[in-house]
Amino acid sequence: MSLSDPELLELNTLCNALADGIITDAGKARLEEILRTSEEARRFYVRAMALSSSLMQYAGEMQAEAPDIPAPQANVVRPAAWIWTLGSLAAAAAIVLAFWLGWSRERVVAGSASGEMAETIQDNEENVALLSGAKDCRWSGAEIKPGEELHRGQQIKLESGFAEITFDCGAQVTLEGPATLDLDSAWEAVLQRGRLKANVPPEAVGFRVSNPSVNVVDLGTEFSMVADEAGATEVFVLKGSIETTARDASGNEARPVVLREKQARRFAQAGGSEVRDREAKMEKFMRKVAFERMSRPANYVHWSFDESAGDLASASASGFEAKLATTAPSGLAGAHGAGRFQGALQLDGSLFARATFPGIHQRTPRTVAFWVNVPADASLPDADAMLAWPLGKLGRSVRVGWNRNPTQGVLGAVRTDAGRSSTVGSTTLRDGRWHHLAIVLSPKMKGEKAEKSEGALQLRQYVDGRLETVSFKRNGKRGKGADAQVASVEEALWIGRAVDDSSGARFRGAIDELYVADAALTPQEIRHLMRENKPATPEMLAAQ
Amino acid sequence: MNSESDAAAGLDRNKQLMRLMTQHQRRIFGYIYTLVPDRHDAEDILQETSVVVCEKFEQFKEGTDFVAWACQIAYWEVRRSRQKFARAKVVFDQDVVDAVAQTAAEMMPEVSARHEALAQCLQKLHARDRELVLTRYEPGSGVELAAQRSGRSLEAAYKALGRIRKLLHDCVTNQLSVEGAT
Repeated sequence: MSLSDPELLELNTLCNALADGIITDAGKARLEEILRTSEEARRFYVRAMALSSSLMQYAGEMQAEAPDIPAPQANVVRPAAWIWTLGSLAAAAAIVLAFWLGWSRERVVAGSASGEMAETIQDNEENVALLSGAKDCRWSGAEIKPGEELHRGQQIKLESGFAEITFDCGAQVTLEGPATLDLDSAWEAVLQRGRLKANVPPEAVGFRVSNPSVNVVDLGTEFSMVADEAGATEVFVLKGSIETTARDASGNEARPVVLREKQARRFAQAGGSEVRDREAKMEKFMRKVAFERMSRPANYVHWSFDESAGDLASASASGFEAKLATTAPSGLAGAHGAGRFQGALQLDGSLFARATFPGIHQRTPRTVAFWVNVPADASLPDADAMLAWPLGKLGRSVRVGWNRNPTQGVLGAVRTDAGRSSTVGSTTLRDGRWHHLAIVLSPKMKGEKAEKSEGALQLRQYVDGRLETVSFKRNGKRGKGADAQVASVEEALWIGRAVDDSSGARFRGAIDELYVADAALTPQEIRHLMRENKPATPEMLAAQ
Repeated sequence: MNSESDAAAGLDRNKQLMRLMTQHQRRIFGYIYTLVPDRHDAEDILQETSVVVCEKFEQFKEGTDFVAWACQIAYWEVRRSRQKFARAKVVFDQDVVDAVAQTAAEMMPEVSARHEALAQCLQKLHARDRELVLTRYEPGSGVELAAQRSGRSLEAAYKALGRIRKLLHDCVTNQLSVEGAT
């Protein structure tokens, strides 16, 4: 059947309406009727849709080429890193598709009028450490107080005294003035001059300190470094072992050398040599410094999920009990099972729980920590959501689950979506074992941009005590229209489902020992929760 | 084979998959979008397709048509997405999707040629029209934003977009017939 001119005109109109998202139900039905009966119409339709698809591609490319648009965050697409760390086929596709979805992500930039940019953290605003202790500190430049967060790229210049810096990965560095330390990331620092001692727990293995003459990678230990003005560096291993790589004047690196406990080495541009007065110097490093520390009280609510029956999970604070509900005909029969510590909540893909939690929507510092067990055969719809709660008053929420989108990170790794920023971890949780998760949300109080916005958040995720973070900006279009202030926020913490339950998707797996704290917990506090299953007191932390 | 050469072979296979996906994802997306004419739904299905493509890549025979193979997978993902999600992800009835899928598969070479020709046709547009249509299709944008930026009313923008698409469609068809003739 050949189409008449009026039919072609009608088909063209319908295709335009479809492409622009304004087709009516009647229009859709009519289009279906035409497509069903005419091969010529189908060919016309395929060309029309292909045109739109091609235009998306060209528009995306041109937008990406525009000079005034910042590139997507560098850590969104890092093929080399991906290949080496993952090596799976799924990961390979992730790289490829990140390229494609790069378009979508940049739309956030295109729509900067909506103020969304301020919600995502820029590289230079990212906090990577905090000043956890100070003793007689004299700073060159602005004073830094205990408890203050330190950002990526910040240079710490200490005239005299001792400063304790806790990196987000958990490594603790004591800096003795005069000293200059550059904070490169949560895992790396550069000692320009002066002396430091680094205490690195097992979860932070891989923490590195470098300078022009040597690169030190920690293998789980305590070590010291002294960089003098002439460019020579002495490295001492107090406990455990480290890997050192000497560098010459042009930056070439020698073969790595492992130094073990009580060993020391001097690195200068002339080459490596023994350290003089090793014993005496070592002893000096072993001395404890009595730091003035920040005092930051933290309140915790804890659900142990140790009940063996019933539809209530009791909480450590009254009024916070979680009520279980399910749409499954079998009811709550399978809701209670064995956990990491005694009982756990068993979520079967239809069961969820709701705990009333006044004030949970507020953009204040918060940490959630819990044990989770995700079945190895969990399928994509099972990813949504381990925990969720409302965020702010614009209808947004925080959702913790595992990543089901291989274009945005490792499939099955922990994923937190907070408003429109997302963070995906690096190890898959889909292995049928218990993993400890801690999600730390800290509002970004500094900077004009943050003040103007509703309050940007920084997300940190710890899996089994180890910091895992790959942040990226997320496609913002789905939230269209969500910027209007919602009339009321349901102050609830959802366990096993998202705040918006319209998809009906639920998490499948087990959850145990859930803690919610009203503070951004430090890596030490998180480790303590994981190991002891109870909150740390300041005394406990000081004794560590 | 020892484990080292196994690993090397795996790495090569990874590279091959990456190369194929980089080269062809646009075409696979185009195919999905034709069956599910909503950008976001099509992107979601592309993601799910990519997972399956990765998982099944061992079954892909070298030297055969990768796009056709991947589109087969995409087709089943489109079907599955209808069963799996409560909300309507798929606009058309299954019989229409099937008929369109067949036509789209047959038209792959033509659609590719049209995509190439479109680049030149875009250059031939008036600057104002080009800006409107590209703004409309920018990631994160839409007709409303395009209308706003070009100082048009929404209704005028819809009309202008219809006119521009027709211009581009005709230009591409014309270009291909000229190329076909020479």
